[in-house]
Amino acid sequence: MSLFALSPLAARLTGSDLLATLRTFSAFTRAAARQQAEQRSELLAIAFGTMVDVFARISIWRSVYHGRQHVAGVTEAEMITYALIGATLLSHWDGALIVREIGKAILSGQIGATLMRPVSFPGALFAEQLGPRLLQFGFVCLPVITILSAVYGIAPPASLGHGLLFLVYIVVSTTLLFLIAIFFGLLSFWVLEAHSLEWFMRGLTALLSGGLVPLWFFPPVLGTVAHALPFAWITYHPMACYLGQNDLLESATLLVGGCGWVAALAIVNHLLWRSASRHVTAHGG
Amino acid sequence: MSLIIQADSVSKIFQQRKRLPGLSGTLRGLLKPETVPVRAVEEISFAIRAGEAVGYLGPNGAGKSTMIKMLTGILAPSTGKVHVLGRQPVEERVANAREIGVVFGQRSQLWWDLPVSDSFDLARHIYRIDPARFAENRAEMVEMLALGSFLDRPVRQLSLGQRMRADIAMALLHGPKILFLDEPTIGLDVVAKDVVRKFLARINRQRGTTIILTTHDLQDIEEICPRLIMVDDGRLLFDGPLRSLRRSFGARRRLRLDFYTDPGPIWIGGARPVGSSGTQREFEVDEDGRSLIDLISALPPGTPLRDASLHEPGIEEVIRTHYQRRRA
Ligand SMILES: Nc1ncnc2c1ncn2[C@@H]1O[C@H](COP(=O)(O)OP(=O)(O)OP(=O)(O)O)[C@@H](O)[C@H]1O
Ligand SMILES: [Mg+2]
Repeated sequence: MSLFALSPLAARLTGSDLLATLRTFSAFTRAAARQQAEQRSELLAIAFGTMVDVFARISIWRSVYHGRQHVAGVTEAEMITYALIGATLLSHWDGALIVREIGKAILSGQIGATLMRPVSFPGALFAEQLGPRLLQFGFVCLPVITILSAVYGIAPPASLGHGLLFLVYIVVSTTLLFLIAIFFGLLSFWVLEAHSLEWFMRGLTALLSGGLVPLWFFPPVLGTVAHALPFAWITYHPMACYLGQNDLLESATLLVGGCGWVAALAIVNHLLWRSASRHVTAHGG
Repeated sequence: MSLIIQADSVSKIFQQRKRLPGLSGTLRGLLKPETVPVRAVEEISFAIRAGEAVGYLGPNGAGKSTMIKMLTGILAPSTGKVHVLGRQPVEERVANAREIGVVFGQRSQLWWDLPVSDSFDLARHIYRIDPARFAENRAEMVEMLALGSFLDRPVRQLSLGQRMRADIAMALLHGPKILFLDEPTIGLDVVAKDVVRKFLARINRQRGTTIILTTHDLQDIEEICPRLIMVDDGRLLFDGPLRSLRRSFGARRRLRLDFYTDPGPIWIGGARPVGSSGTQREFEVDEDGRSLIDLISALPPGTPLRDASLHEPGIEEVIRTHYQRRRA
């Protein structure tokens, strides 16, 4: 199908087809964003929750450093930046909610509403999640970063090159988080307990993405494994790039690695979805 | 006229998780879930030509929604094949979805918190409708279904009747060849039902859109669908014009005779006595084409007949009798 389908069959597409697909995608995204914008109080609650969350993280790191210059070769200012940007731009989105959404859609039969439209199911889900996500970037993440960095300060990117790469890393991070969520979500076609899948994913992501604790604090073996798993590209690798932990070439190489994970997961999800749609059991109605 | 929908010995068997009683049962269910097969659709075959309007009727749990889901590509048949516009819906779901419209009465396709018109705009992108054609189609729908007064209102504020009309309009914006409706009149009041029925009949006749609708309400079928498919317990019971249902179910007419005085036992050839009280006698009459006059003339001469009537059972009654007989 297409980019929209996140499938490897893009070769079959013509240019105008791709354009139409992108237009559908963005229409979905905009509708979802408008829907989120309707819920102003929810948006406000999310902003408040994020504020508290980031504040708590920064406080913890400040007490860990408590007068020390470096911990594991990282300065306090860098660690605060890690917490501030990591918890807003990178791991702010609770991707596991997608797993819950898919599970609910299957059980309630609402999945039928998506399936009877001429769009790819994973593609539509992505577009719908992206809407609120973009809105929250603007109305939650940026304000929180602005306010808290005014209080605690924020380190600039290690270099202009690192900064530009970081922007691409954000895209890869968002895409990977989504693909991982879809992966677990699709498993709920076989495992009817979407709840356990949701918590499983949430746990794995919190630990392995470096969202809570950067991987450089991990014990060696676990650290090495975690570096290679796709979760690391959600928070850890982007932040490592931002802070200049690696030189430009290494950061770029790692970025290509992240894109490799995107491609691999897209293919796996496509195959999973193909087999799932064959024994979709839409309940109810 | 070509066949655009075909079902060939289609069956759908669901595996329903069995819940075992007690704590040990719960544990066993967790470790090794037992399932029972539910035969929702069994060996159903039919074919529908372009431009037809077909009513799919059956009691609760008969397998109507399941069949609609298989035709719209949401569910794959367990065995047998369905073809819609020459495609297998599940295999080519997206291509199929582009050419059909679907309305599930119990579930809205509209975006809950957004105005109706936003959902329509989204449909324009999803179905890649040419803007000029979209504008024309949308105006026509708004006019015919009287949507004008609530186009700007969020869907969650609409009444059920308004929502259903908006849902039907949305399913038709891309000019589908086939419109599937699963209980489109459920929960509507008499007036709203009438609007929906008249509209669907008009769309079918004017645009030539093929319509398949499931319902519990026979009047939906009488007003929209010349053809009836009846299912019960997953199986096909009847497929044909509504008016031949009576004969097909072997529904008998009732002959009622009123006498001035008790006539004693009375026999009429081809009529079975089913009741008597005082000076009244009732018979079930075979469908052999005899008229009331024919039947009366068969009475022995000199019987003190006062009045006679021959009663044709209503379709509703035929179906009810049929279900009751089945349940007994
Ligand atoms: N996902 C499912 N898993 C297990 N059994 C199911 C599932 N969906 C439907 N069934 C069963 O299949 C049978 C047919 O269901 P279906 O929804 O097609 O009936 P229906 O004719 O639409 O009924 P109604 O008039 O109540 O809407 C029922 O016995 C139902 O319990
Ligand atoms: Mg139903």
